[in-house]
Amino acid sequence: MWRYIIRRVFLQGIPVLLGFTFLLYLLLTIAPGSPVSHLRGVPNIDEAVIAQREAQLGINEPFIVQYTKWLGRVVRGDLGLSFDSSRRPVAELILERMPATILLSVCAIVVGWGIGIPVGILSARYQYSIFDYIITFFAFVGISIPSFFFGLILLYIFALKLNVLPAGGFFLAGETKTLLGYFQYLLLPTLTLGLSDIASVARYMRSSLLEVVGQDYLRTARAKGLSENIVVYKHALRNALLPILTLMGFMIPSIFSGAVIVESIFAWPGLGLLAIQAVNERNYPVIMGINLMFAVLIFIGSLIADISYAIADPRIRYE
Amino acid sequence: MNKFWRRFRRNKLAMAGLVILVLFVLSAIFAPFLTPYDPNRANLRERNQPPSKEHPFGTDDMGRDILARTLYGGRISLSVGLVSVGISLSIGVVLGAIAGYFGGFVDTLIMRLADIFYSFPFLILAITISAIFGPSIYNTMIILGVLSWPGPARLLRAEFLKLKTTDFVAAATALGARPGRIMFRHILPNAFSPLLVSATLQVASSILSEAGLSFLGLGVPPPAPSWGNMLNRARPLHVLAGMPWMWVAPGIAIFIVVLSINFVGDGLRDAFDPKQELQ
Amino acid sequence: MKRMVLAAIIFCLVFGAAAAAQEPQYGGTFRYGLTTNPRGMFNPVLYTEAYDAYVIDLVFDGLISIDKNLQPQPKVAKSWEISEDGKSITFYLHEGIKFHDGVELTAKDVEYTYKTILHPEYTGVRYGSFAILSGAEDYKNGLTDDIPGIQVIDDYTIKFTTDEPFAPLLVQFGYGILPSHLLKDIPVGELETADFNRNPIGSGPFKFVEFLTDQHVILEANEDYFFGRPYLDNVVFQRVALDALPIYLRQGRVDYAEISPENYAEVSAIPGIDTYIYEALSYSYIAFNMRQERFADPVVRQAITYGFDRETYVEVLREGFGIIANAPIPPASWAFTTEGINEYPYDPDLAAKMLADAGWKPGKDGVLEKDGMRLEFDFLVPEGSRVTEQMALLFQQNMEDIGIKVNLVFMEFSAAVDRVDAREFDTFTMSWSLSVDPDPYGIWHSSVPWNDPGFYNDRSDELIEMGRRETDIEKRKEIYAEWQRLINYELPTMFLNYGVTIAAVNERVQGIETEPGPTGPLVDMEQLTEIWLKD
Repeated sequence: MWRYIIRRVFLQGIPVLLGFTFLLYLLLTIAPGSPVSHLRGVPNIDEAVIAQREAQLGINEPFIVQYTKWLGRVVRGDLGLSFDSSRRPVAELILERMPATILLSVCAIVVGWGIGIPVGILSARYQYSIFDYIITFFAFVGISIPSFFFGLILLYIFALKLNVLPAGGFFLAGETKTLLGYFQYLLLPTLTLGLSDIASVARYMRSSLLEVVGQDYLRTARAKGLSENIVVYKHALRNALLPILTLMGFMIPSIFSGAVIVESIFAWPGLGLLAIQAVNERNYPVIMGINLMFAVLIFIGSLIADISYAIADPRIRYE
Repeated sequence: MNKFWRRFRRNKLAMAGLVILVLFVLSAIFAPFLTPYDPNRANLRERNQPPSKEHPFGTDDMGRDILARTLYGGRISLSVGLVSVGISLSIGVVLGAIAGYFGGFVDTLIMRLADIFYSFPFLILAITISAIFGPSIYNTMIILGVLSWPGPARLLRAEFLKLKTTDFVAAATALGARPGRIMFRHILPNAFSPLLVSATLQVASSILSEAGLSFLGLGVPPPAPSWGNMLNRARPLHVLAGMPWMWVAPGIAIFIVVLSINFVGDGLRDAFDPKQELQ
Repeated sequence: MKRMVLAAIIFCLVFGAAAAAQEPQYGGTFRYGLTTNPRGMFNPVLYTEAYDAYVIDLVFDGLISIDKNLQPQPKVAKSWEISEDGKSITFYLHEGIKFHDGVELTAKDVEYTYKTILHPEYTGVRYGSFAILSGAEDYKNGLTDDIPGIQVIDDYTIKFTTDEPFAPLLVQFGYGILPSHLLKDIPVGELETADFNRNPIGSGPFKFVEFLTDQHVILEANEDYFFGRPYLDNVVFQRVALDALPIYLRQGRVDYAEISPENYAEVSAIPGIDTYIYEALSYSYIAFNMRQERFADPVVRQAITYGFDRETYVEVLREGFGIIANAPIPPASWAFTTEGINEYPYDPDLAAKMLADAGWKPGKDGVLEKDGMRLEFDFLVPEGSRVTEQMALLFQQNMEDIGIKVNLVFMEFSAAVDRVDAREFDTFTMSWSLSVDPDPYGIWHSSVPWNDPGFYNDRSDELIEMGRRETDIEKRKEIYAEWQRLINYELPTMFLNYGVTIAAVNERVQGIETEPGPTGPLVDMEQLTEIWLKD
């Protein structure tokens, strides 16, 4: 297993990241719009100043030179300086926003899985019962609402009409950070981000359990006279949970993508806003930095998915 | 097939979904016969009107008939969903089948490519592509399609890996069947059911993704209506609260269609896979 | 001409007004809601984002400040003197002004600030504003080590000189003064990464406390402020989600925010919130690419303007928030004029007739044609603004009525700018935010890169150059009035509307400007020194 992981990282992960960053940087440089486009609005700006700025940022050089320089720095652990007026190190910009995005994502995952799994189990246990239909229906509702719309509705109800929760952000300046405070600020964004996860985890759990339950060894267990509850909860559940784990790997990218939207609705101080702003301004080092980080996270996610897939299904072996 | 259809019919939710879906598709196709209004023609004397006899779903902030926009928007949203999945399936099936059947170096190469695409954070690439080619319906379809091919490819490959070890493929090989023959005669039909289920569900998620892109101003560009960009009109809270007719129609349309597609997909899954039943 | 302005005048005005109302109270935190967070470049010579400027304006003081009529007022400089020939300005500084670290501010600091802008390795964008100073170009190019145009006379006197009289210069001296004792050892090329930019020290009414990315900036009162301690204990710039802004105002979580016209009805109905509408220094336009032959005839540009229903655009689509524009200087500026300005009221019949008289005839598909040219063109529209998008749709329909076919091309902003810079457009819409001085050189002179329509007119250039040299404000007014009439006839761009901004203020905030000028009820942020909170 460990040899597999190491091989996977060096022979596959690194080439993938190289290919990915190469393509992305290429796309950025051929995309219309330049990192200095927004200087247009500055009064009395001189054309020579813009040229000087381009030279300083290195964006007047051919793509391959820019990319090689960028890669050279990254290998040495330096993500470069942001192109915007603040000129801050990209790593710093990312690190100071990471905790918020991770906090939100983890909460969404906990809520999604914490609710989704038990609901899915019950739904499978009582397949085609009223309960199953109700749960299934709500699960479907959950994956059928665009998340931004759900977020807006939550804002409207809880912040505007009922006035019981803050309308976003993450603590006002000078506000004491109490546990209750964390809960209040996290609740709406977490629900918005976690909603579709609750629904899809419940559905996966349901069908995974149903698949396991239909298998021969459980027929045997039933034949031995064990009660249905023991069959489902004790024997089937353990085997059904494993494939669900593989889902985790696939969900990481979608959680992060979803976070971009949720963060912009709730002014959540995470990476989403930085990402959108960076793309609008063609801030190459920031775009590259964020993407590289996401790509690494997603790679790790897919690694976990593949490994747990192997555990779940012994018929697949890694040569 | 008959058995499959019987099982599918027994699932009431799936049947209801199918009927609703057909209705929506028909109403999108025959939109010009269902409304006298041009969905893009502004009429500023009739802005922001609540539902009335003339405008059963009211009008939007340019005085355009919301019923007309919802019907025509259905054309766009449904075709975004279908075409993008078509794109992702055609790429994914071919590459996934090749990877799964041949294995080895070809497999590694294709799966690494899949990983590269998989690593693209969806929104960033969507923004970049829409900037390069200019935002349009077609680019939205291409973005959604090209970015999701690794899904079907992985699925097909996994099916191949699973089926390769089964007895009947071993038997076929032993009997001297050629690779291509095995692939298309034996394995593809077996892989068909999970693929159809996942494609169905993907249509739904593409329609939702288009809505998400619209929220960030990157979906189907105005003035053409899509359910996503119409729903985004609910964004100022006073519209959300005070002018519900602006978002109710497209909102319900997205919701019902996505819901129906999900029901159908789930029905298909159950119908294909009779194992999934508790006694 | 000599002009002396004394600090005493403005102080009498300020204290007079405050005393008339109620006894001001000290203390409290004023929360300013921002939908975009500052970037964290709190350096007066290096920032480019407006939100960074909000913080800088409070932490730093400039030689002068700008009042609500856009006129210069004394600040660090207690007075100034413009020489007879109009080529030099001498500033006389207050004695005893201290930076937040206790070191006195002197003419050396002023010299450092402006020399940095002109330095060959300077990475910011302000060089163009001061390139006019004598010897600045040679210094910038590394030919000399000093600039004859900046002369420190003694610790409290500094003189700036230009080779030619340059009227717009004075109002540009508002940039915050940097503490040279903290920065002079940092190479100018590395200034942009200095820690100072995130922990600024100035001489302004508030001290910098904390900047938390995407969350807030906290400032605290400068107890030893030279011009008197502000009433407020703290000023906080709080980031707020755009969609939720009205809720923040309602919940009292922010005291002040600029809102969009769309939110006006909702916000003005909130009890305890006052709204102020004021004219901003900006305008929106549709530019014609005059390099194309079909747009070369002014009659075509005028007819298109007559043919577009700008009344509906402003009254209906903008819900009345805006003023129809017919020339490029907004009413907020002292150089604005209506005299001899054609208003181009909506008149599609006249538009059609003008085009017909000019020889344009409908082709097979009804689109007007003349000598192989067609009035079918692309209209480039940057995405993101709902009102702009609606305007584009209205324009397309109005043009169809007079036989002109408009193809809408929606584009992301940076990509649109690229097209405009490459001159690959037929028509496009954008807007300009203008600086305090009305000098139109930077946008309209034939020689500048931002002359997007390609408007090359000798008389226009001549008037623009005259306006910059003329130091008598009345004569400048005359020059700009004539220039506006010329532009109003030529219409290299169709002017849509002058900008209007709306501010929402919690009623506990006292001492704001109730009849706001172009900068709003918080005149130049410095107004915050006069604001106090009622409990």
